[in-house]
Amino acid sequence: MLNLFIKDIKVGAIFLWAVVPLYVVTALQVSRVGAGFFWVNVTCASLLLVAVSMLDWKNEAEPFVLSLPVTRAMVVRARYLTAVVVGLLSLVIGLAIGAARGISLVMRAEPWPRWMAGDVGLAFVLVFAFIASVYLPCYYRWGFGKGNVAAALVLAAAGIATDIVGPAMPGAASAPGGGPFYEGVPRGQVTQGVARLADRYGMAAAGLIVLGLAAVLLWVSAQVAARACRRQEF
Amino acid sequence: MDPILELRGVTKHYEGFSLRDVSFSLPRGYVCGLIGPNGAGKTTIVKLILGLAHVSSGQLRVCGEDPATAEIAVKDRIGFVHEVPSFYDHISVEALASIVRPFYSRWDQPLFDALAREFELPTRKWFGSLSRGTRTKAALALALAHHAELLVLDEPTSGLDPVFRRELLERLVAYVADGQASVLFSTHITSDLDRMADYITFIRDGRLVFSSTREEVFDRWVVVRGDPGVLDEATRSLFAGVEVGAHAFTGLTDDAPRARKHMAGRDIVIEPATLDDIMCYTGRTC
Repeated sequence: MLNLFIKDIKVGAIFLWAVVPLYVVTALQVSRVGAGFFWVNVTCASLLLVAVSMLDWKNEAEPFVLSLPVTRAMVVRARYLTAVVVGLLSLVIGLAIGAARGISLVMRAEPWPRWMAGDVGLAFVLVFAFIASVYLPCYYRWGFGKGNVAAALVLAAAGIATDIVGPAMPGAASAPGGGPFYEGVPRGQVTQGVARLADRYGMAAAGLIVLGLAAVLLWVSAQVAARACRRQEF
Repeated sequence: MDPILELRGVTKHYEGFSLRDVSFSLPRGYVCGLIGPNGAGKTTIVKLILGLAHVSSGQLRVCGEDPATAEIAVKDRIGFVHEVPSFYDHISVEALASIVRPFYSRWDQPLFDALAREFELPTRKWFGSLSRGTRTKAALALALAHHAELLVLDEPTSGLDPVFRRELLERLVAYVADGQASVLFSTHITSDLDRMADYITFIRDGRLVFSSTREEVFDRWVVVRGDPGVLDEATRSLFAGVEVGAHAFTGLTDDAPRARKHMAGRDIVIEPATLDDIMCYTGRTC
């Protein structure tokens, strides 16, 4: 599996050189306007994940990869490992840019930005894990074209649903519209939910809950994706 | 010794096409030509061997093992060259070798380097910038460099110049000479097989027509040519395929002695069939 992961990194390195500098410049600009920066980070991380899959599709490389001494389950697990690394890389870049922005604000005697905090980082982990958990099974079940459409529909539906259902949940009365607690927290039920979790139980407990949830999401998704990949014929 | 490749009653169903009840085997140390017209099922067989498609029923064994249960061990012993080798276009041949190397337990880097020199591969160029023939050479170098016991080649010569094509065929004969490795060579360019193949397996419409040694094939199969007037129902029944023109007919039979006996004294010519003849006339009834 490690060799497949290294293959993904070597093959995808071209995107790191091409996309990451562009990502950094965009993120630096967006960080001026605060909370929207979170969603730029999520989008860039997701695009990197899609790009790695696109390379397999564009080069028709699946038969080559599957003719190597590997099982399909290994191929799928390696892609999840790639997703985790892509997520962490994006998080590190996001944290670095956020910290730079925060320091520049403090140096101008302005307060540290609310969106540059541990709970927002945890929300990033959860949101990206959810996106990868939806995207990869769709990719392995339907391929790059149809899989992307299916994943986009599911993710859009999930986004709309959380915006509709979230405010109606018990205890969420003060959530919509922000209020003082949510001021500066990136918009979205997940981000605000994680912020509330961290506020109520402390950052360490919230971290454990979020990381556990992300791990469960990815594990279940990997089982589904491996099953879908086993059924594929090339 | 176990055959290196064995198919017993292998069936594979697709929508609109089925490979049905195919059985043949390939002993170690031999080259088997897998022939058949386009759409006959050759590539399906190759995909089943490589695990790119699943067997619907029947038994497939590679190096004595079932690829479904010993996938990694089996693939470690197979080298594969596709008709149009597809790797990653933005990766150099050198980088590709560094990606492939750790997967194989018997990767031989000095051998790969020697093959790259011998094939004059531009190892620092991106794979996507190479000509089709050079891509095939690169794929062949990758397949040979891990000492594969079974080389599976799917139409490998179609993009090659005549000089390298001949060198490739000679190399394949040398590759199996020590009796440890075998080659399954899927092609519709039958002239490639005339001299080098030890076994010929002929697939048509998803069914096995025959799988025999080359000598048996050329001993058994003959082409009969003559005046269409000699064709009657009994004569037609001799042929696996027959084509009737205005002035002559051409019939193909796999029972040369019977054809000679039945048509003795008639104004006909009996010639050994080529693999092209066998592919072209089998099943033809006009």
